[in-house]
Amino acid sequence: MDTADALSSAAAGMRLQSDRLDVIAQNLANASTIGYRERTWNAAASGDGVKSFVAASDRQGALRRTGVTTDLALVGRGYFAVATPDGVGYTRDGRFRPGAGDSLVDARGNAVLGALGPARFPRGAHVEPDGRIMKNGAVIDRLRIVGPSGASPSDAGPYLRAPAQNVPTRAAATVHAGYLEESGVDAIAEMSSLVAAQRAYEADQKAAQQADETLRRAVTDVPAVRP
Amino acid sequence: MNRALVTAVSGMAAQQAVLDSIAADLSNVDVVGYRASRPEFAAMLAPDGSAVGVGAPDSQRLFTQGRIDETDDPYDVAIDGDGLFAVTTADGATAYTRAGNFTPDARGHLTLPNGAMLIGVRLPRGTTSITIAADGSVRAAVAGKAGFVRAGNIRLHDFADKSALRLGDDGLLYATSSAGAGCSGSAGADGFGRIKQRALERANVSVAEAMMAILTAQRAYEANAKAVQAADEMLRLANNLERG
Repeated sequence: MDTADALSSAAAGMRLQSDRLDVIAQNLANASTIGYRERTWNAAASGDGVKSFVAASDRQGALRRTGVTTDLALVGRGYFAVATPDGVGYTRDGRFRPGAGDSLVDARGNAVLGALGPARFPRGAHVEPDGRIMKNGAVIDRLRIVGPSGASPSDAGPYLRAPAQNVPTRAAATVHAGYLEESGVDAIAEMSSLVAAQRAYEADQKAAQQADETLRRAVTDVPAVRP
Repeated sequence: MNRALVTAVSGMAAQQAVLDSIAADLSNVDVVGYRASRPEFAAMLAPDGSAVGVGAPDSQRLFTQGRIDETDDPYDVAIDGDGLFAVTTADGATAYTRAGNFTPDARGHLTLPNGAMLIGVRLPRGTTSITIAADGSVRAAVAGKAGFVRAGNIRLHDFADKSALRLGDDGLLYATSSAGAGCSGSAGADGFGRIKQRALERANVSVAEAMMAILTAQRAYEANAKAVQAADEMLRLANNLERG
């Protein structure tokens, strides 16, 4: 490897660690966001260089009891399906509440989906662990709980989206009414990644300085050598 | 890295807002019928649609049951279960509340300490004592008359989305368009709770939970501050690249 390569790969390393810090900051900022899926950062070879890959992890968040019957938490893999203005969104955030016309809406006011379109949730209904909406012993509707198959859904804001080629499949998650799933962020692991990212960045910076120094010597010292 | 800075600062602001919300709940811990609020974190969006940080939380009012304490006052009423009392405020507006610390006024209305009158009940002149049944029917014993006289009915009210009711400065809840259509019914029927006389419902604030939430918010604030420091340190290193 010549020194110009060393300089550019050190710079690429710094860029990677800075991407990594972005992800860590994102996770730390959402350490209290209900239903947040921790983002995992990985570096992998891509073409000539190294690229950052960010994915949503499947780590189960702790359940917190709220006693609110329309607060739902999922245990296991799967997502609630919500009708958003940009199509179906997937979320683990089960802070639902009854909306207009016997509907069930999420914290942003978007309708939660049931078996056929928006879920029906009349006053006095409750949700069973298998996702059925019951009232007075009769099944009213069934929440659409899906586990996007194949790759993790792409990350687009508060909702996860399934890639077009991935048809969501029924998930085997259980619903816990009266609970919320806490953020899946492991703050201790994030803090240690933070330190690791900082040190790796520092090491890359030293390598870049070293490469720069070598280049400087090549430029200034080599012409001074007399045969 | 600038992105990490922005993200971490948004996280600090959100935790600060959580502390404010907890402080408001704790200061109302002794207010009869007060409904706690719950800060709603939401991942924040960048213009390109990717998530950046966390939005400052909106609060959602929680309508979980508060503890019901028995009292000696026959005019103290609590709702055990769902529902709200409807009252008329001094300026004629209709408002809703879970507070049931009523006292009779000179004209026979049951009024809250802020002057709002309970709708549906009017005590006859000369009332010496009242009995309120679990279904909300009120009967009064009147001086000089045998037996009881009907004095009205306490009906309960509910909304499609109670959490969207607006909390006024007077501590009463007001209907909003986002709360949806209201409905009313008799206590103990149609999913409404039962009425308990000689009882008061306390605020549904749990001091222990609030304390835990304060600790969590403090630590989360610190973690975000560390991310700010790390981003700053990296920027410093990047600036030092040239010095060699």
